[in-house]
Parts: sequence; structure tokens; C-alpha cells
Amino acid sequence: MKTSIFNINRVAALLRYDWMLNKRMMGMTALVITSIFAFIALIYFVIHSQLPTMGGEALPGLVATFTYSFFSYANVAMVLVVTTILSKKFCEPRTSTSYLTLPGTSLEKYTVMLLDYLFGWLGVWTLYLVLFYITMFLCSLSSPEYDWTCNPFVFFDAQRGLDFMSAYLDGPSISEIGQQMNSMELGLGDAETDFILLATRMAPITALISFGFYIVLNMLFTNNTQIKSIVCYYLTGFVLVVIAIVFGICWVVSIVSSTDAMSDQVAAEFLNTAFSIANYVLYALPVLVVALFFIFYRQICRKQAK
Amino acid sequence: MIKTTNLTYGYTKSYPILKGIDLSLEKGHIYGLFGKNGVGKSTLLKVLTGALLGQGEYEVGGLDPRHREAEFLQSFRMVPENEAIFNLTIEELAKVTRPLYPTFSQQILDEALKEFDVPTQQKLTHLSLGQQKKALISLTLACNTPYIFMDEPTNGMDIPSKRSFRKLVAGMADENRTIVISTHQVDDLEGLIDCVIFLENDGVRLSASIEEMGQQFGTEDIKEVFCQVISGQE
Repeated sequence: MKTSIFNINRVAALLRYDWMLNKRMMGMTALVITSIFAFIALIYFVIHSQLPTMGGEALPGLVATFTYSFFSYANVAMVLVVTTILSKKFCEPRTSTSYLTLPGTSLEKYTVMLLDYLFGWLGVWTLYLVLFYITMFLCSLSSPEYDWTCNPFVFFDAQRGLDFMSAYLDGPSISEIGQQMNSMELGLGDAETDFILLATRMAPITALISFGFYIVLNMLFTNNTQIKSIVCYYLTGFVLVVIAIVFGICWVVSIVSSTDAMSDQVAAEFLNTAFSIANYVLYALPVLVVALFFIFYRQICRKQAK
Repeated sequence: MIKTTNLTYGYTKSYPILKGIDLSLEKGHIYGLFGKNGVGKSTLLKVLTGALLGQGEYEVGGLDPRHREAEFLQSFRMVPENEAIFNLTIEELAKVTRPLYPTFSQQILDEALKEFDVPTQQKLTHLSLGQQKKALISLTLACNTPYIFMDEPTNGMDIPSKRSFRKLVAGMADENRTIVISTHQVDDLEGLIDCVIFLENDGVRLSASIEEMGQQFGTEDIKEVFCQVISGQE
């Protein structure tokens, strides 16, 4: 009797197996990374709350921005978690002989990976919504004189989110921010500003592309679990280094802009845009990883052959 | 039945580890797979289980492992040499593994765990290497598949456990099952296996039943014959 290449019962069984085996590490990784980002967001909030330009009228918008920013970081964190899933530690159980030889076709196993990714992503955004409303509720209790009704979904589109914030804060539009950035001699010309806008608009597309690369990477190296593990190990290291660099740059820009008495809105928006670029860089990484793989391919092969 | 014709595999094209492997393993036997370090014993098992994709003709139970069909993957279970160990009890691991194998037997699992004296309430990560191995071997046997592959299964086991291992594996042998055990510990398989496969860099040096080996070499001592065949020592 020939079995089908896709059986929903087997997918459910594999998903259960996958979750049971990896839930602890998934949870711990997410918790640790989210805690790190929460700490960063807290420092960010404390620094900005001390800025003299923070007017009372802008308070709801700023808190909304902070909450959104935090979950933008959390989204980055989710990418990190997914990357960690690809990393040596998380990759090993999935590329181990025992997992590869579990009864389930490749299609079913990729489906399980996809569901893992989707559940993680949905989890982060559910958490975002819950905490967004809790934050707004607590703020409305502490400062009832302000209107705390905000649409959390408006921030999903970086362009619209920035425009929304600009309108909310009665500040400059995104193009005006770009002009301000140019005039402030931050070294950003029209081309760079265009790139920033393009980057923010391209984020969802690049996310999809990166996921596609992830699938291709898996399919290419299904026959060689060790190479896959090593590539994923490199990937994680590389991602962490880039993240550290991008965050370092953002941090410096934030401090420099504050000390130069740049307006709070522009500083906040610039930081947001910088994080959008960070997202863009992060999503585009698999392309670099594939390039890296080809550079290190021979070295890896030699290592394995020993 | 497991059949390979001119099976070749290499992590790189210029470094084939397995070269021209011709084998025919019948049902109802327990095979011992022997060879020096690095000749590709573990690689051969991974190729036969579809974890690595080899070249040439080969099939397990009439199915091509390269296609990795669910039917094929359900027909065997493997104990790898280095298994990923999880923060679960063996009972929890069995609970999520059971739905994937229609032939799974709780009875075999209980008996094996009892024979091996494995603590069932402790997480696998808290067990010693030997206990982890015993737990995973118990799970493999419980999957009750027609083909069982084991890679260095007795590593880390104490002497009583090795005796239990021989008893349990012997108990699993029947006319419809093929068991292949790769090991360096020849003594651990004494009296258990009925066929040997000696692997060398350039292919299979010997594949024969213990009786045939005895007739050919004048002794049924596996270690002695191994030294003669592989190392050319007297």
C-alpha cells in the first residue's frame, strides 16, 4: 500500500513531537531575548522621558510609540528566535538522524517548520496587542486627562506608522523629517533617505524572501545534515554580530541627536527608521549567508571529510 | 530485504567514503557491521535510512531510501551513535513518538525499560550516558519496525546492561525482521549476531553468516577473522 506524501495526522504528530521536544528551549530563548529587548526599551524610554522637549500633548503618542517600538524590537527578537531555531542548538535535533528518519515526508516536515514559524510570529503579535492595550489602559488610569485611544495596527506599515505619529504629534511629515535629517548634516543625502523609505516599504517582501531562502537552504542541504548545522551556526553568529553593530549605531545616533538638541520627534522617528533598516538588514541576511556558505563551502567539506 | 549494488557516498565528490558497496541482507537475521574507524559504518547506516543520499542502486524493503516516503520511514527505526538528548522523560518521548509508528508496542517498551532498569520518571538529560542509551534503545525496540539499525548501541553501557541488551535484541529477532548493528565492541555482540559484514575503504571485504565464516577461515571467532581480513594479521 502506497502512503500519501501529505497526511494531516502525521503533520499533527510531528508538530506535537517538535513542540514537546523544543518547547522549553523555544520558551527560554524567547524569554531571554525579549527580556534583553525590554531592558533596551526601558533605557530608551528613560532617556527620552528626560528630554525637555517632551510635551504633555504628545504623551499618548509617545507611549504608543514606545510600546510599538518595543514590539518592533520584539519582532526583531522573533526573527532572532527563528534564527536561533536555525542555529546549531536548535538545528541539531531537527537535523539529527533520529528526526530526519522520523516517519514523515519532507513536505510534512517543512509544513511543521512553517507552522512553527507562523505560531511564533502570531505569538509575538498577540503578545504585542495584549501588552499594547494593557499599557494604554494603565496610562489612561494614571493620566485620564489624555485621550489614549490608539490604533495598534496602524504601526504595521512603517510609512503609515511614521505619518500617523507625525500627525499625532503634530510634527513634520515623513518627507519633512527626511529634509530635516538632510539639513542636520547627518550624512544622509536624498539617495539614502530614499533607501530608508524603500527599506521600510520592502520589509514584508524581504521577510518573505528570507523565509524562501530558509526553505531553499533546507532543501539544498537536506542530504547533508552536518553542513546544514555548520551553515546555521555561521548564520547565527553573523546575525548576532550585525545586530550588535546596528544597535550600537542606533544607540550612538540616539545619544548624539539628544545632545545636539535635535527635536524629540525627529530623534524618535530617526531611531524608528534606523530600526526599520535594522529589520531590513536582518531580513536580507540569508542572501549574505548563502554567499558566505559558498565562500566557506570547501573549508567545511574538508573539515567533515577528516 | 536490504540490497545495495555499487553504492557510493561521499561528503565531497573527491572524497567518497563508501565505494562500490554490494550487500544483500536477508530478513530474519541480525547483522554485525564491523570496520576500522572512518571506513563509513555510520555513513552506510545513514545512507540506508535515507538521512544521506547515496549513489548507485539500493533499496530497503523494496523501497528506495532516497525518496524518503512515509511508508519507508515507518518501516525502520535507528539508534544513532550520537543522539540528541531532550529534556523529557522516556515516557513523554514515547508518547510523542507512538503516533508516528503504527507498529508501536507499549508492552515491548515496558519490558525493555524494566530489563534495562531505566528510571522512567527522570528526564533523559539527567540520566547517565549508559542510561540514555538504554532508554533510547528501549524506545527503538518498542517501535517494533521490520528493520532496526543501531550505531554503537553499547557505548557507555555496563556489563549487566550489555547482557540485557543481547537478551532484548535476541528477543526481537524473528523471521520478518532485519537488525543491523554497527560496533567496535565485538565482544558485546558475541552469540547475538548470526551474520557479519566487514567493511573496508574500498568496499565490503566479507559478508557472510557466522557458519560460512567459520568454514572459510577455520574459526568462528569474529575478532580473529576481522584481524585476518581487515588488517591482514595472523
